[in-house]
Amino acid sequence: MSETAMISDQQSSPFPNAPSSNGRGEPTLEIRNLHRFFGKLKAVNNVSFRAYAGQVMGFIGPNGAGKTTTMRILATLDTPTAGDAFICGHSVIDDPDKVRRVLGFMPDSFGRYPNMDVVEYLDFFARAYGFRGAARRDAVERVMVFTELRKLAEKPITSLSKGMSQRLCLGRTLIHDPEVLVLDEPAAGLDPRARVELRELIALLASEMKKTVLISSHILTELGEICDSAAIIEAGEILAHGTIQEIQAQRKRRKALSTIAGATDTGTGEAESLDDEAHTTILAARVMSGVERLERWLLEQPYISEVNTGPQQVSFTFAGDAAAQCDLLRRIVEQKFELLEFTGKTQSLEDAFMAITEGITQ
Amino acid sequence: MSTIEQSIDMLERVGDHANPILVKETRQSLKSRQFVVTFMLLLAASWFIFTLGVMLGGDAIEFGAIGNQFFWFFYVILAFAVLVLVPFGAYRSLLAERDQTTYDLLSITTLSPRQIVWGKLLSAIVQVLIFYSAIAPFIAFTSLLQGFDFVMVGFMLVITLLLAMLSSMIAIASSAMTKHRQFQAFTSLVMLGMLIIQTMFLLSLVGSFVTNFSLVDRDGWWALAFGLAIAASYFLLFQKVATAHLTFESDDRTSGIRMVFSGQFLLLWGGILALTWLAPTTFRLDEDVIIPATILSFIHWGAVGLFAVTEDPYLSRRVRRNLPESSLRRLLMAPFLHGGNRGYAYVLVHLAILTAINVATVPFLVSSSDWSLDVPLAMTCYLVIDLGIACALARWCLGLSSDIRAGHIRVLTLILLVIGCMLPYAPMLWQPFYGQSYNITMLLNPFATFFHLSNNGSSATIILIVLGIGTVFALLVNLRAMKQGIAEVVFADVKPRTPDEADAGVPLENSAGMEDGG
Repeated sequence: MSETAMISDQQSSPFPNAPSSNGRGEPTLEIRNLHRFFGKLKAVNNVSFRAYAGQVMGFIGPNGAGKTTTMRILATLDTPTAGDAFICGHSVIDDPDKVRRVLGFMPDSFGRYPNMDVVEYLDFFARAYGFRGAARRDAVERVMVFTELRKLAEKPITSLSKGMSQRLCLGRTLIHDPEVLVLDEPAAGLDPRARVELRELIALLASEMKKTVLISSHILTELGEICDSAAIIEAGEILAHGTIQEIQAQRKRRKALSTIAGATDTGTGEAESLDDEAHTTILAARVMSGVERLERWLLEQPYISEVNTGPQQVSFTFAGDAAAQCDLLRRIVEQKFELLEFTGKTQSLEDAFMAITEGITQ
Repeated sequence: MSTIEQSIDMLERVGDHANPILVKETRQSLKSRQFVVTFMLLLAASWFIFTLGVMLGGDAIEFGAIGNQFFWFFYVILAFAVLVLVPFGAYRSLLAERDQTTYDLLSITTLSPRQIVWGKLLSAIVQVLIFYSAIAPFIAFTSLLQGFDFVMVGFMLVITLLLAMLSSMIAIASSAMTKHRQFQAFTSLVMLGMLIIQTMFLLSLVGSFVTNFSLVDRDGWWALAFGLAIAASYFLLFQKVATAHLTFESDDRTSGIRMVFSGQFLLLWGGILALTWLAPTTFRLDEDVIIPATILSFIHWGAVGLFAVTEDPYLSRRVRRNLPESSLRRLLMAPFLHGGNRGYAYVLVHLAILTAINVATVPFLVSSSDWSLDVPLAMTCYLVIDLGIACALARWCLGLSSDIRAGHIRVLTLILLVIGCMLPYAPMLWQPFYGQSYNITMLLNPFATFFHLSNNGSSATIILIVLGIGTVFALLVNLRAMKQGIAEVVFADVKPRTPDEADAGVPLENSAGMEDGG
């Protein structure tokens, strides 16, 4: 039995890893047990997660993991084999028309019409979303101002740079002022400046306009900077979901559950370690000298394991709570180690992704 | 506000309510090199003909009745542009949307598939009108010549416009059906070839009609009206087909097409009865009318039935949710909704109507032929049996594996039909073929049976009894599934699906997506 399946068996809620709404109200994007099979290929297999207004969620996974398929289902471009997805409470299967009014989808490849300039392109999509007269002109103007495309209004879209094209595509996605944005690899192929600018626009959409943004990208460092949560998918299955911290906690919990399963099989009674595993933190101490002495001392202390040393630095896994951590720091100082810095090491989205995924491709 | 400003304002307001695709494509067309080149070529060709005609015409220009001849030259150029280039452009237009991945962007807007199809068609019509305007000065010139028939020219231009609309709609429907990119080059060539052949055929048809048609010929007008009605029904059919192929999977993509097929059937027979009454000098209810119409109807239902009965049986939640409240209306709607079992019921209803028409008309035929009720009855039995087999095969095979598609069942049914036709002749491979008399094994071959019955062959009663038994058997095999299919519609109770109501753990057993599912 796979690790994920084992977890599913042991937890009754369909959303074990979902972040609590924390007063954010109803989810604006919700995927429930989504399946999409192409013959024997399980492109999307029992995927569930949700996102709220003002949230930027990263949708991460290796190539062929099922990201684009999931996003296409959300955009009503494909139908699921089973399960359902809801955008602002509307089912993508039952109410695709309503979904299209509240969802903006930016696909990974940007289709360009020949013989058309920027303003005509945006005008066409405004018309296609039912805007008439002054409302249409306002919508086009609003989007051109937001994406800073005003000065390129008369330029043929086939002559736009990649960065400008992506801006235009984002503008098209925003033309009907959707509540939920699904962006598939929006930063692919952009130069660093264009990336930063796009990132700023997306951050603005979530923070100022309270849009829900589901964004997929391979550039995890970049996603880490704008996403407040993430869903990690591999081989069609969600491996983890939540804030970066929650994903870390899930990884540890998963590891603990594996240990329980192993313990149950072998009868070694290691199940008690579950809570300890779930509360572990990685700490690091930087000292002026005496790295080896600090390493030896740490190994004698409670709650500490996996001590690693580097030049002027010792990092270790600490299984105690905040009070125990405070006590440890006090004792390090009492032992007169020449301490320069004592810090909790934060793991990046990239660390979490590498730790959770196994590089499985379908 | 000045008059110009008022005009611009009015145009803006009109443009606001125009189809967005029409606006987009018109803007694109006017900027495209392809359109400009085609337009200039049309002008150049017309100018060349005009110059050549004037040079070669000599005195005939002034004294001869060559107005119509001149017009025909211009007409051929115009026909090539509006019956070949414009429909082909419409075909390529939708394909290009898929090629350039702009179709996805289009389909997630609030534009309905119907608006997309009409937008493409209206763009084609605008191009046709632009080509008309290009050729107008030359036609104006020919009108100054003797022998120019204003009424006939007007008639031909109107008919050509209607044919261009029909051709463009067929091209758009074909384009909507061409989803595999690897076949696009091939299908484009086929489409171009077909359009050229069709244009040549239509030119000869229009020419022949214009030559023989007289404005005072009342029957001719009825025949024209009947022909236009048939053409309109095909226009509607292809519009429904194109729309269905662009419609989201969970939506109702079937009932519109089935209604058009029913409409065509009723139009044919309604038209015959109307013409018999309204144009008695041309149409009589004799075998020359009834036999072709009956054969045409059986071919129609054979072809329609093959598609209808082999559909997967699933009816999406969305369709069920939008059913009317009244059980009677649901019952009437059921045969028109998606699903092979309902499709079989749908064909049976129409075959029953066809049989009733034959029973009612054949005894009163004004003829001395041998045409009797045996042939239509046998045809009905064969269709019920063959389509019943196809329906049962679809039901069983589609459930076996997701790799088996409706298209496979259709091909399998046709193969079985061909084997059935050939099997009775297998023992004759070692005997002289000619001179073999009809025997009971030849029942497997419907064509041999029709031939035998239409020649007043022996044992007609036995043949009909055997076919009747086969018909009852086919009905019994499919009866339960048909009943379930109808009951699913009549007793459906589906409320809007909300996140809380969604049964997360259970697959959507009736979702359209299941057909691709494993």
